[in-house]
Amino acid sequence: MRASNSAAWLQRPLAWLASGRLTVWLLAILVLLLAAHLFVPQQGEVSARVVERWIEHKGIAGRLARALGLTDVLHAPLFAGTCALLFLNLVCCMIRRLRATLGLFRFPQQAPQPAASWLRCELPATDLDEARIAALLHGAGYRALVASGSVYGLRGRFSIAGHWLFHLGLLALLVVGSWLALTPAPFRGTVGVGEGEAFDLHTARFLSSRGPVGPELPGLRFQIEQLEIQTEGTQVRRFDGRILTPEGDVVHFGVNRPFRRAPYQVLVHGFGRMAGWVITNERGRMIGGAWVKLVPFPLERSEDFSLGAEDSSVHVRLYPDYEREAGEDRSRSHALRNPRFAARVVWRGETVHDGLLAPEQRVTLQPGLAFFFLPEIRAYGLLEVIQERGQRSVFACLAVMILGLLVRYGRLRKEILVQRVGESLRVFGHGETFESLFEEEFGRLGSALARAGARPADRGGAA
Amino acid sequence: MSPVEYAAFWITVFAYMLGTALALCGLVFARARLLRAAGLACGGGLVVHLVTVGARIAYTGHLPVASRYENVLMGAAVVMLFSLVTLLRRRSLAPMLVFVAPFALLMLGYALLEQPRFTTMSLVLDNLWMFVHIFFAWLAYGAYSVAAALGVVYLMRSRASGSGLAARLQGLPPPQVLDDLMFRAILFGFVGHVVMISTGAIWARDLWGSYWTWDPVETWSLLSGLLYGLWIHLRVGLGWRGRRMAWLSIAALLTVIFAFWGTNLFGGTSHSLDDLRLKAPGEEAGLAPEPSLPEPR
Repeated sequence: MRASNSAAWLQRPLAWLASGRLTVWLLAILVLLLAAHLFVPQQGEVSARVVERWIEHKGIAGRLARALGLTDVLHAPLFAGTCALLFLNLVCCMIRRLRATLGLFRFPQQAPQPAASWLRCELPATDLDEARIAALLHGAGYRALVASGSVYGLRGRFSIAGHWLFHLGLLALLVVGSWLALTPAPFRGTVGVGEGEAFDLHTARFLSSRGPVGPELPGLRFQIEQLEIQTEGTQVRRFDGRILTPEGDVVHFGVNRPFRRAPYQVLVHGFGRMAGWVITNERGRMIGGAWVKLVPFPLERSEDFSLGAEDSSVHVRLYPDYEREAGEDRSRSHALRNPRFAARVVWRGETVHDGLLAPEQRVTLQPGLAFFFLPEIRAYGLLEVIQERGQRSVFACLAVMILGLLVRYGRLRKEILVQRVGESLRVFGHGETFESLFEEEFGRLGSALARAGARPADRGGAA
Repeated sequence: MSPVEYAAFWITVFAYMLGTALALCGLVFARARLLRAAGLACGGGLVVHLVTVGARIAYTGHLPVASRYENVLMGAAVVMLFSLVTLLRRRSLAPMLVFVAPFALLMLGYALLEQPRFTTMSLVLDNLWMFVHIFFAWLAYGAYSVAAALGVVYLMRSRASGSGLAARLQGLPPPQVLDDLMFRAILFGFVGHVVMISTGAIWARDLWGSYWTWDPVETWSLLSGLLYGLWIHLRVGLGWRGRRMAWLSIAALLTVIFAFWGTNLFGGTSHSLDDLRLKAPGEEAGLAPEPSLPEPR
């Protein structure tokens, strides 16, 4: 007796937690909170003085915003509470609807009774027998059941599973997202570092221009100390030491975190060159150009470009061994640091240049009008940090969500019931979600049944 | 811009202008023939628009994703493509061109303001996730634009009853069908939106070292995603239909537009493609020549 009472006591809050109405409210609150995040100055993004001045300026509204935590939305109890409640709401909705969802998977053993909301039409005297009606429904993609004088067709019975799958993926994404946000993970990705450039990854343009990555909480904030790449061979120097590494090796270096230093792995892919050609007019304005993509050294390749006309072209080739060919004894690293490009430029049928072209050297295509040159050539080191599982998790959740949406809306649940009443046929139909579009489909199906069942005399009349 | 791109761009603009004018006249004077002509003008414009995109690809040597101009150029093409595909399936929806054609025109105008200079595909942008991210952004925004256009048509249709406009909108599908089509477009867009946000997060991890940084573009994008999620729940869960859903689809598109344009106007976003773009050698120091529109030949 006591147990049933406690169950009754639990039922109301559980029903409230599992209601779609609550989902709508929570989504609306989240939308409003995010809008506030965009329009109200946020602590941690602007200085505390700016926030205080804004609150003073807004008066009561400002103080109310501070009381609600809108000046630091992402850390406000309201935001966290809404997210937590949404999470609970999702879980409860899924649990509550699970039995009903599983029930919809079953194909009924006998034709159901049509509800009042079902569409209906009546076909006059017809010769159609059950087998032909079932075949027609089958042709339209329905699984048909012939039972006690009526034919029942059903398609998309697993559609509802998509609803469940999508929200399962969403739940997993929320869990994975929280895990990823709360786990101090190393930077993963590739960074192009120019020759001679020193990069503080934390403040470089590759990172967010809005400040620290992630919320400013102890243990979450990370900063990579200056990482310097030199092209003295393939040398990577870190802030507290120097590592010489050949291409393809994995380098370990430290990440400076407030409380600990985590191992950080970098795969040095090797160095490449980015080169290109540019044509300018007499005012130095670019009127054409193309870039050779980053390619690994040694650059044994060449590129041909059109200069906008059939009889004008340029053939650019990296010329790494020019010094060796010239008899000079230079090291490989010297060649790496000082690349030379050979260019053969044909302008209106005439070869205007054929040979090495230094970065600052210009070739006149048309005196006073057009010049060709190779701008500064830079070397880039491509670093890839490895060992990261987050992407796969995000991708898996995403795949489940997309699969859910496709299952849900790719093949919606539709039901057709054909009953014989005397000589005529009574057709009922029900389609979920897109009722009006189903109405059109129902009309087409009714016409198909009418055509198939038209007696010879009717056919003659129709003709 | 290459000369071909330049010429094709302006032909596209004129075709869409013609389409807008014809659609407006067709609607105001209740001439189905003018509405059909508007569809043809926009269809022709779309073909030339795709030529513009092709010329851009030929000129820069990469897919048009490396600058704001390229993204807007492609985005406008996707919006028009989606609308025309919808029109092909339901010819009676031609009045939606009154919304779509000026919208595409505005996008092209914005693209032009963004200086269509020569861009290189930098290491930062040359990433598989970026292509997936942007492709699905096009799909999502294209579908949302169509949904908003259907919302406009729905509002016109529902307002028309009893007024002089009713006769002019006779050929339009019934409001329930418009409502369902709007829902379909939003569902399609929502799938794209989910993929866009998730792949964007993965790309952001590669690029900035964090899946999510609450950048204004990210936040606006999440906001619009939640708003469309809310839209779907309101319709499926609470059974909302009709005018308020049409208004909501238009309002939700505004958040998408703001996520795309507004955040850059107000600054402070790391989604500015100019920041992501690897500058041409010497460009930052002012040594490289300034890219410009083509000189008259």
